Amino acid sequence: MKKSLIFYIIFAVYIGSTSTLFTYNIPKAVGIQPENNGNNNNKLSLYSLVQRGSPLLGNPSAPITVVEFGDFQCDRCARFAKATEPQLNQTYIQPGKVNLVYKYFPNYGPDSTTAAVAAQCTNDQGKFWNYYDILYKNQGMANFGWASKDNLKKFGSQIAGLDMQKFNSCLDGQKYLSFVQSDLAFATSLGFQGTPTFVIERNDGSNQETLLGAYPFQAFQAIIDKKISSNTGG
Amino acid sequence: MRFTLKKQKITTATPSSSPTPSPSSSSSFSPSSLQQTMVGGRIIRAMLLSIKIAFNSWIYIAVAGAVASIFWIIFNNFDQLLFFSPVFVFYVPQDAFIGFILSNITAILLGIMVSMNIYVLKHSDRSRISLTSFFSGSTISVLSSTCASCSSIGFLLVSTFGGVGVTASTILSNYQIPLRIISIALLIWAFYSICSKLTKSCSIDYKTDNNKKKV
Repeated sequence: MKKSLIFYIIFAVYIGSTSTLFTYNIPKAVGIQPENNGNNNNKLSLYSLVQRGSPLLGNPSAPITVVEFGDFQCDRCARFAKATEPQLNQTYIQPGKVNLVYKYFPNYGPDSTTAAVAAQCTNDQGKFWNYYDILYKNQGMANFGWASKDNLKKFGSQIAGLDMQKFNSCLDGQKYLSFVQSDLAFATSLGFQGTPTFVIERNDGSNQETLLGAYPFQAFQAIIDKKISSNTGG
Repeated sequence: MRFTLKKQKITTATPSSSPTPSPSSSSSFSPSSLQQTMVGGRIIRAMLLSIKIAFNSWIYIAVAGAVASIFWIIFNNFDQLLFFSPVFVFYVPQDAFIGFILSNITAILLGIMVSMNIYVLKHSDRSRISLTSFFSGSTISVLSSTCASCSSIGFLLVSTFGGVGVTASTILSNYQIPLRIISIALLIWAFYSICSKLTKSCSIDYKTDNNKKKV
């Protein structure tokens, strides 16, 4: 009986620690913390995001904005880019109901920052979303060299119409390093601790809802439809 | 009556589970490949017999099912395939397919292992049980199912341990599939050990169990 008791205790402790890990790691659908809400509502408004130079996909006057905080080395962000973003694009972005804004949250290591700088360089020429697709399609093991400067330039050369000279000098000069770092600091100030994180809001930055994790299309659909109906309702 | 039947099965299984082949078989078929096949066959027979013994009662099947379900939920939620809010969704995108198969195998093995461990503890006289491979296998599987770098765990690791934390979370993220395969291997080893305990020894005390039930 003693042996059984020891086993049950060990197993209970094990399940307990696993559940702690579970609650710590669980994908969350939460609101932004109230103490940050006042300051960051404006910063997360579409006007402010676009004004600061964040890449935008879709109609700027769409009533709903989805803000993605992502890392090009994050495999869950790649899952969103491959599986969910095309559905969002087809259902909501192309019809002009929603727009998507990308914010850099490079938390995987040094290559993440370099990739983010390169991506912002393509945004200068209006090619960010092409580069976004190419990076996530070619994603390799984190910090194993797939996002080295040379490879990032090769990926850039795959985009039709991208001025490579401008792009290379922008990347070599780390033109947008401080921009990327300020995005990271902004994400941290909002209390975000993982990628991808999404903020779904009205385009003035109000009525925010946050999704932490690579949620499937159905989750976005539920939130967006609710926001659209509340917009039309009142 | 039920226990007498089980004891008979164990008696017949005990010699066959021995790794040394019988003299008659080795004299007539000497090639080592044949011996290996026979040993492999005995191991599989011993495993099947152990499962039959342990899962003869519905309680152990229920325990196995419950534990497997709990771990299935944990693994798939860690993997970001199962979501409870804002809507209940389960999906398996292409990139997650191999991981999903491996986590299913791990969850089933964990269910079987926990249930069989409880069975052995209740019926065996042995005071020492080997749980190392079970706990190491299940710990690795839990850790490898989390996306360390993209979750708050990675954030915690990096903020607490700096460069070492980055390395740890990178390893956990980059080697998810190999780590899961290692965890499955450890669980299979644990399963083999528990099967050996069930079929090799005669220490299972069915009489005690019968008496307990009568009381």
